[in-house]
Amino acid sequence: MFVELNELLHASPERPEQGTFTLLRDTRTDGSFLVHHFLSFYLKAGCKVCFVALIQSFSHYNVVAQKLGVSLPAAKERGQLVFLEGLKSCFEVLFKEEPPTGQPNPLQFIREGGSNLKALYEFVRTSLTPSESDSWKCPVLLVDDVSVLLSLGMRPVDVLDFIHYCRATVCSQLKGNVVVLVHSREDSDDTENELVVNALCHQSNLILWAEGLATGYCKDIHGQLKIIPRGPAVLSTERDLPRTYQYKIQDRNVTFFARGMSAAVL
Amino acid sequence: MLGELVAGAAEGLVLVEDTVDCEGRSLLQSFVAAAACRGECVHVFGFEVSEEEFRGCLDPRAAPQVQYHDSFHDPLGWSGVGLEALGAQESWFQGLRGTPGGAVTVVVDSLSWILLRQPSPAVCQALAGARVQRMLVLLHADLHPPGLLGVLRSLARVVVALASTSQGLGVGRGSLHLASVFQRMRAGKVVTKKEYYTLQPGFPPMSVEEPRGPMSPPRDDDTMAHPGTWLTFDPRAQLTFNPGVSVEQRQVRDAMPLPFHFSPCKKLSVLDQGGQIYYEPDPGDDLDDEDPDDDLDV
Repeated sequence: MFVELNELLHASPERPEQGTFTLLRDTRTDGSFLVHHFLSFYLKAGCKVCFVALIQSFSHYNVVAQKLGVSLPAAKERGQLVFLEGLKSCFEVLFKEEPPTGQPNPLQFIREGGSNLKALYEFVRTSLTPSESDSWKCPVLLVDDVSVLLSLGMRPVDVLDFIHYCRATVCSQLKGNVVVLVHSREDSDDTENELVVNALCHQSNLILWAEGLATGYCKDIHGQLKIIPRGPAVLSTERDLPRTYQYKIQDRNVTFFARGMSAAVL
Repeated sequence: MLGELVAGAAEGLVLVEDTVDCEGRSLLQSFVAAAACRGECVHVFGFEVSEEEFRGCLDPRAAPQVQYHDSFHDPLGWSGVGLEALGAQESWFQGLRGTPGGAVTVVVDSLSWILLRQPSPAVCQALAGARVQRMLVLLHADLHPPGLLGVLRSLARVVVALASTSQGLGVGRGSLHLASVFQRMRAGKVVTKKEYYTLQPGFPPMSVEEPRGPMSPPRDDDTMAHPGTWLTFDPRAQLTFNPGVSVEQRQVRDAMPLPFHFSPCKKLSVLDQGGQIYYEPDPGDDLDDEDPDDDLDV
């Protein structure tokens, strides 16, 4: 996890928030560093994590997590991490025979045209429903990323239904957290993706929006991050106001600074 | 005007339009809180948030007046509970056709959720045929095409479109919002008004005058207290020098000659008519008085 980002979000692994839906959004840049942050954050916080990884392989996330001080194989072994490797599951759905009994493949919607994401939701619900022997803190669902579900042929409403049920189960019933990454583009012709992005923005308690610089590539400033709190009624404080910071991604850390205050230009 | 609508002047279909930049659920909750405090029976059909979250800002004394119909936890029947799960969306339609238990106010949070899953003509027909005294619906304007928004606005008696006043300042609670109110009166008169307001959870909105900034730039704490003051910020007010030029100063400046503009008098002063060159030859110089160009056949 990135310590500076925890300070900006007023978050601590000793006291993770509960019942929140965090939307990670990126435009003109790659916001996956936020996914790695929240994965390592919640594992260090002692939460049970269900990670629906549709973009990269397990080894990719493990390499980055090790740089942040977390071992994903160890977390899987002790039952803290449930990892759905989408790249491998897609292969099994398309090229392997269906098992005669047992749970359907969470990604069976790829083979079945016109279906919904109920099987994927059931996988999430089964993974995060606590058992009697579990001693973990609140359950957490992490999805990387939602936009690829549209590319796999799902309708926007199906994606929104899936997220809706995840929120209802994980946030409301189990008092856990949901973190979802979605890609967006300004002036995009992809109306379905923009519909999903806007709908998720309306449902979220916190939006972290990573944007590439409008002026183009910069060696010392990799982008800017907007922190936009939303959600239930709270007394207005400085924490409730949107804030914008610029950031630079390093090998094992991400540094954040006020706009125009990069060390390279001071 | 917004305060009067919240206090009970709004009748028929009341459309609260919000966007990603400026959420409208808090205003909807203030409508509900005001109706409950008046002793009216309120039926809330919640699709987007849980009952605990919606009731969070309501006065506990007025809570019994509010009946929450939970369509959030299992609207599509995925949990397989049976008839109870399947009736989530149908109950909303039934709630509009016949007032359940003599309801005075019906609240839908949100209409966008229904419009994304039900045919819009059916939804519009249900809204047009509703027989309730007051129906408050929350609509996310950035999720629907302009044509559908126009149809819904034509069905509504009151439309409250919310917008943020500056970059992102409209998102937080207690910050300044801009409401464009459109009300169609019974006699056919149409009233439109734009007003700024602030909203604290559980309380009615408080109208604020249109922010006008002072000539001096606001300090950081002034900006937080009066978020609209920076809109008319004058950057020249506290400079240590005067960037302006008076008429006399401009005339003097125009009359000054430019440094490299060679006027005739300046040329004369530069070009010296007299003067000689004194040269002492070095020992190695080969001085020849003959003209070196004499042998040219020109």
